Amino acid sequence: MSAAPPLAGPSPAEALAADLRHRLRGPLRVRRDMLQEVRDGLQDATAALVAEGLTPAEAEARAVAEFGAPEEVAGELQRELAARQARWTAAVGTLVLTSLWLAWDVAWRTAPVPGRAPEVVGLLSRLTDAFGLSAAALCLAALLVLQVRGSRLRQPERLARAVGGTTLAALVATVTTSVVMSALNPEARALLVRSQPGFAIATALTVVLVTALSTSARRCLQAAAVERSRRPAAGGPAHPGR
Amino acid sequence: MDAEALRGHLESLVLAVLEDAPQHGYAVIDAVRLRSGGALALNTGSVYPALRRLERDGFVQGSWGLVDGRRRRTYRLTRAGRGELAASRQRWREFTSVVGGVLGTEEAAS
Repeated sequence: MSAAPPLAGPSPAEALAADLRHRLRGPLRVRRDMLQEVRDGLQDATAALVAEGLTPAEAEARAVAEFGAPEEVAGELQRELAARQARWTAAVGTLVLTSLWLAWDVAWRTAPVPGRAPEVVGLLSRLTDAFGLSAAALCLAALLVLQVRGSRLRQPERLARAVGGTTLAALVATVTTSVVMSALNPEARALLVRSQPGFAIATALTVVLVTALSTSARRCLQAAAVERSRRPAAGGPAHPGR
Repeated sequence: MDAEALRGHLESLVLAVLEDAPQHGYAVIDAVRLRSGGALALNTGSVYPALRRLERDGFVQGSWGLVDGRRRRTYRLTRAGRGELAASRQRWREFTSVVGGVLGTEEAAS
């Protein structure tokens, strides 16, 4: 029995697009758009070279060679993905952290809890507020910086790292202090459950929002991991005959 | 012009060729080659990140649409982009005037 012919591998352009796809992290839609643009560009470059007389295979190989180093191009595209993800996480962070602080503050203030909570619960409550509101303030500041002074940021991944890291740290801290407070003050928690009909819904909503925000913050940190490489060469003198 | 010298002017070149009409990425490369009389060839891989940077800066706006029967992402210059292009031209005039003054002409040197 004769051996099957070897399967043809991906074309140079497909291999380049796959290489970039593996390197990029960030918002899916933006990433997909970027890769589609790169494919379009390679296709156009190949068509132009074929029109100049090269064979399709030669034209594609040269279009890929003239594209630039994939790690350098990926680094620059990743920087833009980091900025997009940072903007999204900062917007969601501002909204979610402020809303949760407000909603739970109102819930506890309006609950008919008798007597005074233990001293440590008061301290933890203030700490929870401080963690959540500080992170919300940083998210708002980052959002304003990205919106108003985005053009001054040459390394937006640094801001993305700050937004993702601070948001994630604030979520871990606020969830931890909230759980400890609840454990230290079971009577008040039981009374709150009985007196506030929407308590279960509010708790479920909080879990959903915290999960969504922590996912966004983790993506922000992933998108901020820009490979350290030089900017791709802008180009140079055209090849003779082009 | 070498690649290093070109790097600092990439965004300005892109803004300049978008001044007349919206273009997609490869059309920008083509337009630069055409305007430079074939002297400049931008790398495909440098143009797409540059367009994204300009979009983040608010100088261009990208959108998907049909171009010659193909779905393409084209970029158009915004009002802020026109302002940046004007500022870019001014900076370039000042630069060439200052450096030209220092370098002088061959006649003056001889």
